[in-house]
Amino acid sequence: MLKNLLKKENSVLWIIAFASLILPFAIDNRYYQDIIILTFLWAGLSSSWNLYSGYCGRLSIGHAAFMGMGAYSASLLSINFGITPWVGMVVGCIISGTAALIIGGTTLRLKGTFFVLSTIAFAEIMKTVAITAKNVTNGSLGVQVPYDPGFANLVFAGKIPYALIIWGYMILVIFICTRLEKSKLGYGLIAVGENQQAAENLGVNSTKTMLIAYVLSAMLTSIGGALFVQYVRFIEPSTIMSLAYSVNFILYAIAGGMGTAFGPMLGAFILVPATNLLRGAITGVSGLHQMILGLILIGILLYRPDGILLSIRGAMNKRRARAMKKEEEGGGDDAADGR
Amino acid sequence: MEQLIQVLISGLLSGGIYALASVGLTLIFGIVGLVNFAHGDYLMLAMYIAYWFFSLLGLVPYESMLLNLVIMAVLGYLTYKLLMERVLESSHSIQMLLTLGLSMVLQNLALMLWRADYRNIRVEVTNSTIDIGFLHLGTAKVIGFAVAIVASIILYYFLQKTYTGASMRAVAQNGKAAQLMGINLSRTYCMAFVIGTVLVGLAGLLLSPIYPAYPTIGNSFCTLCFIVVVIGGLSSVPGAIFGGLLIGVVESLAGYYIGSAFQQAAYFLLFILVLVFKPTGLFGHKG
Amino acid sequence: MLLTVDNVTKKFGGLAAVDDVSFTLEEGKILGLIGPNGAGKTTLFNCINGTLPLTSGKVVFDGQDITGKKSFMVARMGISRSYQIVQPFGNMTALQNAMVGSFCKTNDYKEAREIASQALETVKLDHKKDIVAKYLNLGERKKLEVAKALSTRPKLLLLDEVMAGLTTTEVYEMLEIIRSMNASGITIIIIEHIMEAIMNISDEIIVLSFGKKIAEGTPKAISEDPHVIEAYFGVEEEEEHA
Repeated sequence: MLKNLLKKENSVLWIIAFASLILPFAIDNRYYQDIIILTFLWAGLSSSWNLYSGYCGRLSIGHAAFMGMGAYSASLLSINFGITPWVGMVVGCIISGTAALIIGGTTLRLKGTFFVLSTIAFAEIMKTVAITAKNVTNGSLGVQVPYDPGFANLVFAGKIPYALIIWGYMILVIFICTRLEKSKLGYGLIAVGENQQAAENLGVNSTKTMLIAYVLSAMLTSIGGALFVQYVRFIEPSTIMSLAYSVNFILYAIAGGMGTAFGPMLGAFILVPATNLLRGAITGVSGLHQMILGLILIGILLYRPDGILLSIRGAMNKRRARAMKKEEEGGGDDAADGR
Repeated sequence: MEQLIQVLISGLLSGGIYALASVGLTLIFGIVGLVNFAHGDYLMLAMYIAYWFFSLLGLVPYESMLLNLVIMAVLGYLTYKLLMERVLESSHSIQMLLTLGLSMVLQNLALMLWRADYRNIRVEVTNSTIDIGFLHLGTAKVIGFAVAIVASIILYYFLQKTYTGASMRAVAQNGKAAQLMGINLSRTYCMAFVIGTVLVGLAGLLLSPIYPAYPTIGNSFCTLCFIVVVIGGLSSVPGAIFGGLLIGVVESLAGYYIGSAFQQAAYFLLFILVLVFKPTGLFGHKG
Repeated sequence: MLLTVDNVTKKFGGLAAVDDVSFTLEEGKILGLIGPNGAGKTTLFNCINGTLPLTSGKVVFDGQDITGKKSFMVARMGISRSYQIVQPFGNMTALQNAMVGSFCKTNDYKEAREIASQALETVKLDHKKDIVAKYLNLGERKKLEVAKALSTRPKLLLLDEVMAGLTTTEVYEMLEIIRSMNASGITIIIIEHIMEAIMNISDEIIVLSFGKKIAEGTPKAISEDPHVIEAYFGVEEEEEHA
């Protein structure tokens, strides 16, 4: 019965994921539609982060850099060379994938704390590059995507097309994560996160496993970045590549459950609307919104560090182990009864 | 040549203040084992406190030093008791995220209280210089360096000659063994965190006549401290002092010869290089 | 010969933990590795499976020189090991733990599941396959350790004190498990302190002392060897008195 429940856990979550598409159609209000679209986007972004850091348990606090790479590739190629953002998105993927390969190749072997620090340093370098390379990126002034609706331009007049595309992105990333959970790569990744040496002794090439996941995570993140810039139509490096953005990735994943396919989605579904509605309600005080996000992060870490899904799963695992033990203790009689 | 010496000495003076902040971070990392991303934000808080004393009571930062440091000690104590103590047993990831969350809260709190405007403390020492031969050194920097040296000497005596200092060194070596020897771990951790916070606060106060205060000023100093601490070998106090001076000089040279735009990027590049090629730092032990 | 260990030396600093050890192992045999604590038995395992680089010497497995190969490569070639101090992946279920190993030889999820299930059956842990590893007791964790190693479908299995800390019943059960794995064609090297168990199960025994091989032979010959009695059992007694 418990096994069925576990299986059900995933199908219930799939239903939530698919059903969420109804919302932008059901709520005909641009303000709320905007929040819904941002929710889908952050669900996808946070899931992309989760693909490496969540499963492997090694924090990257620099994913905003990959988001920025995707955003700049899509917007700059289309503004300067008239290349459709759809192609720019792919170019962004290749650029962040390559960057992840290089940076991961040098830093993934670092031990815990050092790896985390290096991811922050990486994002800061990228931000500085984006600010200083004024000729290419327009520096700290940022990039404005012109309003010229059309599918090829990935700019739309209404919210619905954005909702559809960004929802599709979210579903894609989650789908990849569920596939990962049933693959050699996924098993290797989780094992490496728990005990690298023990995993190596079972034939897991830990360097390669981590690198593949890291690159994949960076590429998916950059797609999200491209969609972000096409939707918001404006980016500036000190925001999109900021530490605060990098923390957002983690915040949603932790709230929902790191290393679970649907955790980041659940976290984003709760926190993105909550904080955005809050921001709408208290526009007068700048900083309050971010401060509340910080307080939420602290609260989760102190009281529910496992997040929603892992707490549920943990409780179920514990109960199952107890039930098994009880059965065994009482099991002597059963055996004697000639079971 | 004269120019080069001027640049070097000026860098050395700033480096003294950086060293102070970095020693604070080193104590927190080396003894308590926490990677504190909010470290720079305490520097920011001390700057604002100095600004408050200046704008409300007309006190020069040096005059309000004692009060400022007492406030920092209380803030450090509260932070430790309310937050840090509760995650000592948690994973490094959780600890790091907690300090990140704290940093978000402090920065945005500052934004709410003082808005994003730059707050300058314009006092006599801000623009005056001390001239020795061809050298022209900012008075505030010279005072800052002198105070940093005095503070370092006091810290050295504290660590070497007092029981609490000795227990802090013992805990840095091996927490479990120290506990078996009868050292009160919790008290030692708390002490280290408070001293670390006071040191970074002192650095902030010394910087306040030179730099304007704004909510995110802690970020750049926090990364600076991390670079220094990694270069210095993570838990070595002399390493952090050396690293601080080195970074001060590098910054000064880079600012003069390359231009300040790439200064930050150069830091981080240096940081990654040290992480990758000598993760135990230039002063660290093997292993 | 399935395995040839040729003049293998491993030094830490100036100290030789494994000192010029050579032996060969035929396919299908069970080799016992005994010696007092600190004799270098586990280090020898680490040298064979690539966890540690050798200071000098050579290891040839199945006709191939595996000296200096990384441990994951060695695992894929067919040498698998279990740890004395169990190393389960705590948050994965028993089955998932074993599947990490079975993905060594296949990329297919279903097949990996199949192999892992068989391994759990072999070690008699299949009834606990959905229990998360951190909730297993020591005996079960020891079995899981063996199942993980077995899931990689090894030709040679290195078992490091899989019986230490077990109850007598569990020791007998483990002996059965080892015999059945051996019967299915897996060659085994086993480190063990429980003399009765190792004398009982091994075809051949090697005795290490201070990193050196001091004796080699059938269990019967070893138990009568005066060198062994002096070097090994003598030391053991002293330790107990101390």
